[in-house]
Amino acid sequence: MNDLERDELDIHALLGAARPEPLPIGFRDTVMSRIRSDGAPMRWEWIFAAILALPSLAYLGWGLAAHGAELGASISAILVAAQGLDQTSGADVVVDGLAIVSLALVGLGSAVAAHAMLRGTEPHRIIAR
Amino acid sequence: MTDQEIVRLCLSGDADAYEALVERYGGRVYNVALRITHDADAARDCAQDAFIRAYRALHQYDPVYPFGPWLFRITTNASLNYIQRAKGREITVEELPDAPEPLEAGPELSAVRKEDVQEVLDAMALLPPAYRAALTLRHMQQLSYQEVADTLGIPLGTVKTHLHRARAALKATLAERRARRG
Repeated sequence: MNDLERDELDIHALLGAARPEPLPIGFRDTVMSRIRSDGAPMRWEWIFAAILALPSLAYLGWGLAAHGAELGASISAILVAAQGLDQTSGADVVVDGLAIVSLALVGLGSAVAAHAMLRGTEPHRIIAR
Repeated sequence: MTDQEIVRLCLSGDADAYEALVERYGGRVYNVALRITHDADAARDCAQDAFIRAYRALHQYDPVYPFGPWLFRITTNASLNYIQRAKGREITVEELPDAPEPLEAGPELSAVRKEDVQEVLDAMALLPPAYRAALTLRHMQQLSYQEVADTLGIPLGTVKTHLHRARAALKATLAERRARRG
């Protein structure tokens, strides 16, 4: 530290001479036992979340690309039917079981990712400004 | 092994590597918390909390910067949060007392004696927590003005103002005590 100013030299000398208090007994062990019980770092949670969500998102994306036009037409037909303008066929959507499972996995992955994010987030700062 | 290498080990799943950082910084972290909270039990809890939070946030640490000030930042936050919870309200600068000017016949603080050190520590405990945090980081942890600003997350000018007021308040308190003693 080489930016000491003249008017702080006296206080700096006094506070700098204060003897540090020793760590409480068992401090390190307590911290480490909490860390170990805390589980693996968040990186593994992110990887797990990605493994859960990414294949499902890919499948949903593929489904949308392959059947997006049908889905759009079905939604339009549903909207028309809902307005009572037309009661003709086509106002229905077929969802396959795999899409439902994919959606569930994306939800689960999102929950895991949210947990990892919350654990890694520092608490709100309150320092006086 | 450097701090950054230890952090890399922790992030790759080796939780035990973190013990070296607890060993290396435990004393300083505890003493920062102790000077801010002025309570040994609270300081122990805040210091432990700081290490746990730091571990959980290791992926956010940028190894380009030194590990110590980053850890002190978390420690300071934990300690000020503790005081806020204890008081049940936020501490703002507007609530801090005006900087008292040192008395005309201010104390000469050049000679470092054990009693003087204890006296200044006692006087420091009477200061607002934000001032205690700035004084601790600057004068006890030997951080530069810029590092104190980064640690506290406040502008450099505000740090200088805090420290100027804190030192003036300290000198005034010491002068008052000594005058009372005769």
